[in-house]
Amino acid sequence: MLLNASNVEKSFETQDGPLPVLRGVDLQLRAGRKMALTGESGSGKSTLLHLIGGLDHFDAGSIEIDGESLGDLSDQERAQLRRDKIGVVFQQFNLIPSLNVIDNLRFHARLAGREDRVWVDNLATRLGLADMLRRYPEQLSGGQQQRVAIGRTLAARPKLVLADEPTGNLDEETSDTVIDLMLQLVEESGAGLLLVTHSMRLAKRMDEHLHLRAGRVA
Amino acid sequence: MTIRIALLALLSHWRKKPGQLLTLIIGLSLATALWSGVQAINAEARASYARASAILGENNLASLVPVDGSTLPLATFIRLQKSGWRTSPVLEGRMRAGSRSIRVIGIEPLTAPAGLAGRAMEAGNGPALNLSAFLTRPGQIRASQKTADLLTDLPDLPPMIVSEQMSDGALLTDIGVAERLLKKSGRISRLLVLPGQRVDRLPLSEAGPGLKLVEPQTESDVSKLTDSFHLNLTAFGLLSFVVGLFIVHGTVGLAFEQRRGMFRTLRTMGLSARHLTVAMVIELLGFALLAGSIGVTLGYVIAASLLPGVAATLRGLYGAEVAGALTFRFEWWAAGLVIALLGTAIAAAGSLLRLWRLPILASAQPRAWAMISGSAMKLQAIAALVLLLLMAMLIGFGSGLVVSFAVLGSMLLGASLALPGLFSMVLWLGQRMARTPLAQWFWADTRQQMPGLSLALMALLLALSANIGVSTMVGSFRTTFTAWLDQRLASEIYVTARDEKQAERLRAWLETRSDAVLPIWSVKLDLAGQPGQLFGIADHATYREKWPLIEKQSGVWDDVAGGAAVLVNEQLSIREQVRTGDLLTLAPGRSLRIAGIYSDYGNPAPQVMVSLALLTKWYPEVSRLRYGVRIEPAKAPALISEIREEFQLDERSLVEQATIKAFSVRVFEQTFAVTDALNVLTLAIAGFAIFTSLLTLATMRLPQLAPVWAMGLTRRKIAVMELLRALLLAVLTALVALPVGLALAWALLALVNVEAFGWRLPMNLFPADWFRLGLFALLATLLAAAIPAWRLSRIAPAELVKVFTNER
Repeated sequence: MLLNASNVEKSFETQDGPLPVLRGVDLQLRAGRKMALTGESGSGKSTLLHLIGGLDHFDAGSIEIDGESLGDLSDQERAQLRRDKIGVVFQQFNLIPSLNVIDNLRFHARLAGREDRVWVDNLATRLGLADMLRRYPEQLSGGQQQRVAIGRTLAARPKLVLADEPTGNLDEETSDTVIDLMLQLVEESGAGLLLVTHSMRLAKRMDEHLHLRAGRVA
Repeated sequence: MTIRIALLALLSHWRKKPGQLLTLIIGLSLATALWSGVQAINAEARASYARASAILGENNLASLVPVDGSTLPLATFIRLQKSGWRTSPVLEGRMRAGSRSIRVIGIEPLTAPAGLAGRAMEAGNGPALNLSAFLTRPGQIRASQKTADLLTDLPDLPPMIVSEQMSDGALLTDIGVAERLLKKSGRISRLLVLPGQRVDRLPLSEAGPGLKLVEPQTESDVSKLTDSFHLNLTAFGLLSFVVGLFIVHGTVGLAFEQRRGMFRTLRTMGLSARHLTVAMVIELLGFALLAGSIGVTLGYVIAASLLPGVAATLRGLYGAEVAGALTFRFEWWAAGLVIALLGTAIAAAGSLLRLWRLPILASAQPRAWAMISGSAMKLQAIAALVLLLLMAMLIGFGSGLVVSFAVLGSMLLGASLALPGLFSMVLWLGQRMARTPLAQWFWADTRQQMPGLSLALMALLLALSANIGVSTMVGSFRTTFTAWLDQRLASEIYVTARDEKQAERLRAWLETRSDAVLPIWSVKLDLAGQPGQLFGIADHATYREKWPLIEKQSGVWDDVAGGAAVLVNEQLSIREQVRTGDLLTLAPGRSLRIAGIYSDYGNPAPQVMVSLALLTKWYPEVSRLRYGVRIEPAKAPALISEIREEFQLDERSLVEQATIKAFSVRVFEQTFAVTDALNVLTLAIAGFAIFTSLLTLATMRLPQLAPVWAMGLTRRKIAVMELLRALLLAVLTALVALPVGLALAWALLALVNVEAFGWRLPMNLFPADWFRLGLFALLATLLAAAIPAWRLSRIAPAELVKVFTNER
């Protein structure tokens, strides 16, 4: 099992006391499978994604990625895990503004110590970025920026891709193009995909679908 | 590998923002430059003092000197030798060479300590030396190249050997040659007590009555005297350094805020907080080393250009010889780099700590630059209050030079920390009183900008206050000093005879040709443990009417003339805490009442005046060569010509009052030339801080300005308001700087000067100078604000629209 989350709980401290966001969520994802994670705003989708990515700590339960239990890892080891096995695509793209397209594309792969120039060039071509490799993020449209973000994630060949509403900032037409490309490339790379989305249309294109309601699997 | 890649990503930020990088490097370079420049000057001066004192091994050998400060006869040396004392005689004095005074040191190489004799014998750049050549006529002289150049025109000098071990302004020779050069036949200044004394030697009281043992000193007299001067320079260097650090702190903080998004992305991609922090430390280390190297080089240039002035000051004020040229010294190059690293560490500590603690999911959006929360501002205000209270306590209960500088430090830092809170209140009041919506927005928006500008404004406050404080101090000093010179230099002509015989003839000749001939005779002696001078003063109306007494008893002049009382200078009175009416002991059995205290600016050493009769009675061998001549000022030039013709005296021996005054004023101006230069540089750095702050803030201002633009305000009008805003803040800063600067001037005049130089000066105010400085500050701010405002007025509407489309 690539991803195995069991009875995950998470609360946030507020002025009125702890606010439970996740109340015992179970989730399993095998390698090469794609799962949609849907739910209303505040249902805990992004929080669950962050916990799986090792970006935040859960209060109870367990999360295992490729056999490694996140709860047992130090911050340093979590960082190593993200570097080696996980790729995250955000709604806000989060490109490094001072690096051009090609350097952004290579960045995660170089950090993980497995840069494959042929694969990066291939990704750049497939993503339609070949003509803009020397451009900087500020010179790109939203759709182009998200394609770079997807390329950057896949260039590192992660086992698990986490995508948090990757097309939330894009219009419908651009969104469809970007998603088509992402799903195709993820499939080819053999990675598992956990995708947070509000779109039921998009969710239907995944192998599996998990719906959260008030912090529980509905 | 991981860190290297992270470092490359961090560095890519600067490639996109070269201006910001330039700001960081310039800020740190300037801070380091001024600090290391001052350190270079201090190191050079201290090395010169060390060389001077090392000639006689003053630092490690005890000496025997006459209790009354006079010289001792050769017979005393022989008697001590017979009594079992192992000593070596030294004759010291000064001789003229051109316009300079040269220190002559005569030693007896056969008995001199090994190191000293070795220095005399070691071969220089000239022919090899031997003992017989040094001892036998015509003897030899060892001096530095610079001193040798000064001596070339003097007749009857023995052959010169150039030695780089000698300090400038001093020569070393056999004691017999020194006797001839100094015209002190058979006299000895002191006896060096050699190591390995016999245990059965007679006690000093029997072997050498009238002599006292002076223990070796840990530092030379001259370095003690000049300590305060160097401390002043150091304080200025530190102030400039702090102002420079404001720039570095601001730039590093801005870069941190701008790279928040990058940090989050890097962390998301698996870079740990530790790796990220290490990468940033390496990045900063590189910048610090680069800027430190530039700064140290600039510091070298600054020091090299200021050193001749400092050397002239130290020579004029303290008689201390400092080489006018800078030599490479590894220690201050290293110290310059260390201070650059330390400065960067201090300036970046906050950002590094935030980076270490930054949660991965923290907002990627930059906050307002260097934004401080309300609670942080409160903390800052409390810190300001504590510092100002500390300052008050130090003024009330502390004493000493270090405490005086602590007062200055807590005053400046306290005022700076209080500034943002104070401005916030003023701007809030402005907002409350505003009538139109635009005015209301103007005040509110200015208030919102305060956190981002506060560092630069604090730097400006520091620079302006220092400028007002120091210029008030120097101005007060100048006014008082000029008036004092008029009182002190009462005689129209000052004349120095070649020898006692000529002096006698001169006195008789002048008797009928002038209104009065006033002897200026003095001996050097230890006063309150320091080298000082005892003068004989004639009983004449010139002194009774003009001498600058700041405290006196009734009948002071009668008592001094009658030999019943003395006058002391202010320095001695403050250091020894003696007042009129107290007894002063000059030597055993020589205690007299203090009848008056006189001001004695420009001289850090203690001084006492007794009647001429008493001086000649105590010191019959006193040199009687110097005189002040009173005559109607209009007749002075003619009389000078007559004297010159009659006695064949050169220009140095015959001086008109106006010439001495001009020379004194020149020395005074030189003394503060360095201070002025540092003042201007500090102000320039503060101007640069304002410029960089406004420039970098401008890039973050669009979200605040775009809505106003969308509501109908033109870009041009917004730009004008930006300029007005900068001017308003500069005016407010200048207004706060005025009282802070005046408080600083008071502290310099009433605390630092008294501790450092031993005199207190009245404080004068110079509103015209403040006005000029205020205009300069406004102009600098206007220039600094002009570029961001111009850019704003020309910004493409598309850029402003982006604010609303979430594409920024």
